[in-house]
Amino acid sequence: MTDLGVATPTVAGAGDKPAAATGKSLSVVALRKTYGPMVAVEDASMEIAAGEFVTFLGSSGSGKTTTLMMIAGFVEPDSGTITVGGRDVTRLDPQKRNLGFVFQQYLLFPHMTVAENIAFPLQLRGVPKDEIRRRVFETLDLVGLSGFGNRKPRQLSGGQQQRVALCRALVYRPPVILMDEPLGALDKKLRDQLQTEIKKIQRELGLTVIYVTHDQEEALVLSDRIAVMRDGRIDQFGTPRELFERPRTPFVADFLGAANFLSGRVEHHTDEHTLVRLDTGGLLRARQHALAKGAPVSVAVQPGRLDVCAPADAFCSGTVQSVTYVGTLVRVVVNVGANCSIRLEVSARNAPQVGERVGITADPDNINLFAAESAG
Amino acid sequence: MSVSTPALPAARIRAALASRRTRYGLLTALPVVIYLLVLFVYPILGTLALSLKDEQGGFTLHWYADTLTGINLSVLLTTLRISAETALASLVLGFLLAYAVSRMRPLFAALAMVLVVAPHFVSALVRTYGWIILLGDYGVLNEAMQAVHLPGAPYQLLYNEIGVVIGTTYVMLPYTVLLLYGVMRGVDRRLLAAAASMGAGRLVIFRRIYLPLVAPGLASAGLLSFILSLGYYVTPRLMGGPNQTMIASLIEQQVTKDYRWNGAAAQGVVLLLITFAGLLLLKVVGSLGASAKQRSNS
Amino acid sequence: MEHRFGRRALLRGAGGLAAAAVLPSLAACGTGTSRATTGGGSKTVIVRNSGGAYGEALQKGIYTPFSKETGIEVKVVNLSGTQMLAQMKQGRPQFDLIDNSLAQFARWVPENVLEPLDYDRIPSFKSAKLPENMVEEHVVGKSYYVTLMAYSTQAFGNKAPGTWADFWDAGAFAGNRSMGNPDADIPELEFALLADGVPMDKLYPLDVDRAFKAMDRIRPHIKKYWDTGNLPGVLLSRREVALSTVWHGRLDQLIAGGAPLAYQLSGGRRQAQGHAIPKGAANVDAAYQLIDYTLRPEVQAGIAKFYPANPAVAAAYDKLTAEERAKLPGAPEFFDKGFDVDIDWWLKNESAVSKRWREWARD
Ligand SMILES: Nc1ncnc2c1ncn2[C@@H]1O[C@H](COP(=O)(O)OP(=O)(O)OP(=O)(O)O)[C@@H](O)[C@H]1O
Ligand SMILES: [Mg+2]
Repeated sequence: MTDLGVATPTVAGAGDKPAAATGKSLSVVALRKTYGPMVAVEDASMEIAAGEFVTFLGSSGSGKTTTLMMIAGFVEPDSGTITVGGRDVTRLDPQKRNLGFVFQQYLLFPHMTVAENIAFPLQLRGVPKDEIRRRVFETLDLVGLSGFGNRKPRQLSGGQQQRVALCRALVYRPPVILMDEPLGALDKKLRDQLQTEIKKIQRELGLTVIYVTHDQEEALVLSDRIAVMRDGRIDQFGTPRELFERPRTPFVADFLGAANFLSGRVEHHTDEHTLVRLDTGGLLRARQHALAKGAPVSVAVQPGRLDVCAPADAFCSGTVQSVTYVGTLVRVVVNVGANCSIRLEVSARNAPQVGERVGITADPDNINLFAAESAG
Repeated sequence: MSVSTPALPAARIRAALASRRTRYGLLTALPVVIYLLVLFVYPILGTLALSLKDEQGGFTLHWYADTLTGINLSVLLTTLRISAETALASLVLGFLLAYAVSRMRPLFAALAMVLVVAPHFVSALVRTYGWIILLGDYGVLNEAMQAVHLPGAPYQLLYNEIGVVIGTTYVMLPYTVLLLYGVMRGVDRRLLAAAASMGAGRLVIFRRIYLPLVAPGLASAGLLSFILSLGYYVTPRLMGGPNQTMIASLIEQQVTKDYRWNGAAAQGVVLLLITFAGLLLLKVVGSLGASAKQRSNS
Repeated sequence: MEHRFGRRALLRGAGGLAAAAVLPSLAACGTGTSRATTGGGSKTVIVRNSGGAYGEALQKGIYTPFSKETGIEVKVVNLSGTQMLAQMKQGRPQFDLIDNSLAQFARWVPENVLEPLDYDRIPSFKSAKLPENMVEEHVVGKSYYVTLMAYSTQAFGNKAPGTWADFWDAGAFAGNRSMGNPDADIPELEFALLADGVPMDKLYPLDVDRAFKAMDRIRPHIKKYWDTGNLPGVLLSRREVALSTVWHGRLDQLIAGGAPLAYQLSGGRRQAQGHAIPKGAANVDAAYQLIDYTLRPEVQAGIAKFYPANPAVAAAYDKLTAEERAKLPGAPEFFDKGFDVDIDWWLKNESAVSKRWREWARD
């Protein structure tokens, strides 16, 4: 029970109008976890500043939950170190780490009502009854569930349960909150709304948040920094802009920007640019990359960074296969070769016609090159 | 039959089908109904009738008055007391044991369960001897306690209420362990992790999360041991003294020694009523608890 | 009972006639070789006894040699009193002969379920010279079982408890005691009265109040009221108690195995065991033959060899060695130091005394 003492000062500070930063820094060094021969997480390292919002992004089974569980203390790492606020917590019991956790599977207490579930962490911290009542009410209101306090979890829909789980972690304002796909079961509108709320609370209280999602858009909206995970490894850890504009692996480029990939060979370097002879025949101007002349490369460029132009000015050209309107933008698919098509997103004013022959151009700065063998 | 008439309204066809289905249903249920009538309802009614008859066959409440006065009443109260003690003891012990088993790997869990159940197949004679070897003045337990100079040792662990409760608890243990084991396996351990993530210590997690989750199992295990204990008579005889005579023993005596079926029937009916009362009590307590919760939240 | 002999002669005549009548046809079948000597038509007799070691002794000492001699097969069933009574009341008992205590039989006489015995059909009855209280209209005695005192030979140094007064003397003979529970047998009030100084021949009618007063004195020292026959032996050998009442014979195996236990053969309470034939029995004739066989002195002696049951036929003791007799409280050496239970008194009073005992035993 002594661990509760650690939590109390933080909570007292988080009472009404909290001071700037209540979050804590967190560092993870060389974490590794295996299940038998299966490597779930390998060499995961990151430094997270107090008050930072970090997202783990990655495909299913890439080790996001496992990493989160190790930070929370539910899964013991094979090796590596975890530090919270400068304190090594690697061997500490979960209840002594003072972290909040929103589980992928909600894990509401089935024998308690919604209100009791949310009140539980506050009771643990000795918050007075009236205060508990007020904060439970407030938090439920925040997620659009006021009036649901007396229901049992099994009387709620999946999305409603998920929101209660979110409330339960937010209500006591732990300095670090780990959220495992906390909005996964919600529709787009509710999701947008709650993203805003989460972000607001996080910012106001200066909480440190680690957030897991599959949804790159959500990751981009919320995060200060994103860790892209693949097969148990962190491919890249950086700001959304870094990841978007300077992906370090084709996987990152694909995952965040849904990039088009083209293959070719390095033709020559100029002072500013690297020129690539594409397999389709055209010459592409990309920003400077340290690649040997003649090396096979993979070119990644996001649909939004491409534009249509006269075929003469283009690095490649083809026939417009389809045009889809999505608001002010149109999605265009251009057939440039035998089995090769390129996706573009262009302003509706520039929209070409289906069957029209068009050229494709891009700002060299927005083009990323990768050595071909790593193209996968 | 009307079914052969071609211009039958649809509703009537449906009604005919339905009634036929009902009849068929009744027919298939018949064996079960007969079984219940013959094996439960008839003997119970017979016992009831017997308990209300005087020696000449007229109506009387004499046997009930007899059951609820004097030594018979005191035996009845003893029965309730010992049953309650047994329920409590087997619940606590069964809980600990089931918890330990539920945390084991399946193979070891199965082995442990066999160990709990196996001694029950030993004959009463051998068991009598076994208990004396274990609990007697010169038994293993007392010798050990004397060896470590426990104050007051040797303790009298046989031929008194302690002895009886040890014996009945031991008999009940497999039931409570099996029941609680099932419930415990059903508890989602991640819920405990969730509580821990909010900073709850072990004790709090146990009291606020684990215990409520297994509470339904505890209630039914407790009630089961209580009800089953009401019918004990071998163990109290084996391990108790005259003060631990239980009602089943009294019933047996009347039937086999005194050939007094009426008194025995009355006692049987009272025992049955207590059993029903126990079941009712559980329901009442359960719904009271639920409504109290409702009120505290509104 | 005067007419007995006349009827016997008549019946014997009839039996002989019947035997003569069936003999040719049986002989023709080639299966009736031993039937000629039995003088009856039945090949089987079903006996009910209480089983256990006693049942085994009966098998070895009586049934097997009986079958060998007569060719009648003896089948054994172990039914409880309630089961037997139920069967007999329905008029279709599945047994022909009952081996039980005379006290139990006495309770069944009013139920009218026992066949009145025709003593003429028991030729060895006359020479058996059974004691008077073993000969009833429906029941004939066969042996005694004796409830007596037993003790641990290590509990009292060189002393040995000799009388019931010693049993009651917790000062001179310190240690826990065990006595019988009415679940096992009739309450042991006689021992209390003997301990309190009532002479053995003045026991009945029992002074119940005086007996319970005496019981009050011993009660704090009684650790367990035994309700099964093997319990005294277990309690004594595990040193739970130093003194106990016990059914004679129940310690023999333990003693043979080296347990430091002994009986006090004086002061025992004798209860007769005997035979009766249920009404509606299928093989009455064979049942009579078995009764008759049982009362022969050499057969009686045989039972005692296999089990420490005490023969009822005095002549049987002549066929035992002095060593064998020294273990039997029913032997002439000890007979007068023990007493017979008064069945009639207990029949009238058992229910009330047992009830009072139960009230007395509870706090
Ligand atoms: N308890 C376990 N035993 C064995 N393997 C496990 C266990 N937990 C996770 N794994 C494996 O480790 C890998 C990583 O799992 P993890 O749950 O961390 O993935 P995730 O990134 O959270 O996926 P998702 O997005 O589907 O939730 C997976 O291949 C999974 O099968
Ligand atoms: Mg996951």
